[in-house]
Amino acid sequence: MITAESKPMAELVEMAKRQERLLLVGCATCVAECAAGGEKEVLTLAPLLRMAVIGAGGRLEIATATLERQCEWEFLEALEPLVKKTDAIMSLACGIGVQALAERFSPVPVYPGVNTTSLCIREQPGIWSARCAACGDCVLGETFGLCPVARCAKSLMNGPCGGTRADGTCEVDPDTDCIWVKIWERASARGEVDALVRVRPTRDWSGSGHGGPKRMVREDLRT
Amino acid sequence: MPAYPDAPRGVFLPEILVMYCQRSAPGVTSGVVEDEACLVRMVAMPCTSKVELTHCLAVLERGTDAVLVVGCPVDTCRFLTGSHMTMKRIERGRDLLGQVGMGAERLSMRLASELDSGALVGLARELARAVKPLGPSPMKGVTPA
Repeated sequence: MITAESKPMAELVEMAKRQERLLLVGCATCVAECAAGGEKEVLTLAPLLRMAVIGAGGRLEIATATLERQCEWEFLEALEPLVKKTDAIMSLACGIGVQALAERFSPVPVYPGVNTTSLCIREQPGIWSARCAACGDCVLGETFGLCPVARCAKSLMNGPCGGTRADGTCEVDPDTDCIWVKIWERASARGEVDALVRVRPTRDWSGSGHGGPKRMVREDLRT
Repeated sequence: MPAYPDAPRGVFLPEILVMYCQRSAPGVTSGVVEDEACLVRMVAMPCTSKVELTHCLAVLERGTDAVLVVGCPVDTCRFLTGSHMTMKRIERGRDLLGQVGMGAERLSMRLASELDSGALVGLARELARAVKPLGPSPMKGVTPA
């Protein structure tokens, strides 16, 4: 899932108090799963923003809505009647959702209520960790299903590095496993460590965002 | 929520909502108690695990001066992790209320067992004393969103 974290409350209040009518919009997909921007977070943030602004002597009306997805145009249409009655929108979706609302409902200002962070899996309740970096050139078939791009602090293609701790954790963070140790363990379990001896050449990183904004075109799907 | 009906003019008597686990106060029914120090609205819950932060904040947004959640001691929670997890939610709520300037004191949780109605009101009275320095909720009389 795409993961996000709530912005600091002071920053949210600063955005909320710029107008008297605010539409707070959640997204029931990824950011709901990571407890940053689903319906529950909308219903938590709305009273807090009102108490902050009204308690300081200001005025603020907040309407709330949570869409199934903010990243698909079709889902945004349900917001139109509410947008007509608001001065601004605060979106608790990832950056894709925020931009979709801003484009669909321009010139109504749209503020981001969360900071989008990464592509994660929920390890345990309350703990999410990155599994994918959307690098555009997947190597999971060569690395036994463990991603060295997202899960190695140096994104090494030929690990482990010399900084791996004796207990198999990363020198950067003792709470994070060295993913190359895990790759080695999985290869060993399959009796395929020879596959790791081959030196992987320098990667072409142009598909990872270093080559400019990504755009995907499928002519067979275009109308 | 209406103001305290018999409060002497000029005297701030906090309105306290108490959401309590029915197992921590067996035999106590939901209702309103007009205490000398505060107005107490008591709501029985099957377990504090059913108390969401959204409930507490919605009540505070409507002008209630403070919310008290009363659960069973952690090791006797019938639903095992109910009190434990609710304490975490309430602590987060307190932090957020502090950040927005409402005062963390307006949300509180206590763990207790075998409470009768008087003991429950006593806990509410303690919270009323804690929030009195904050003054009445600035949300009193504000039209709900």
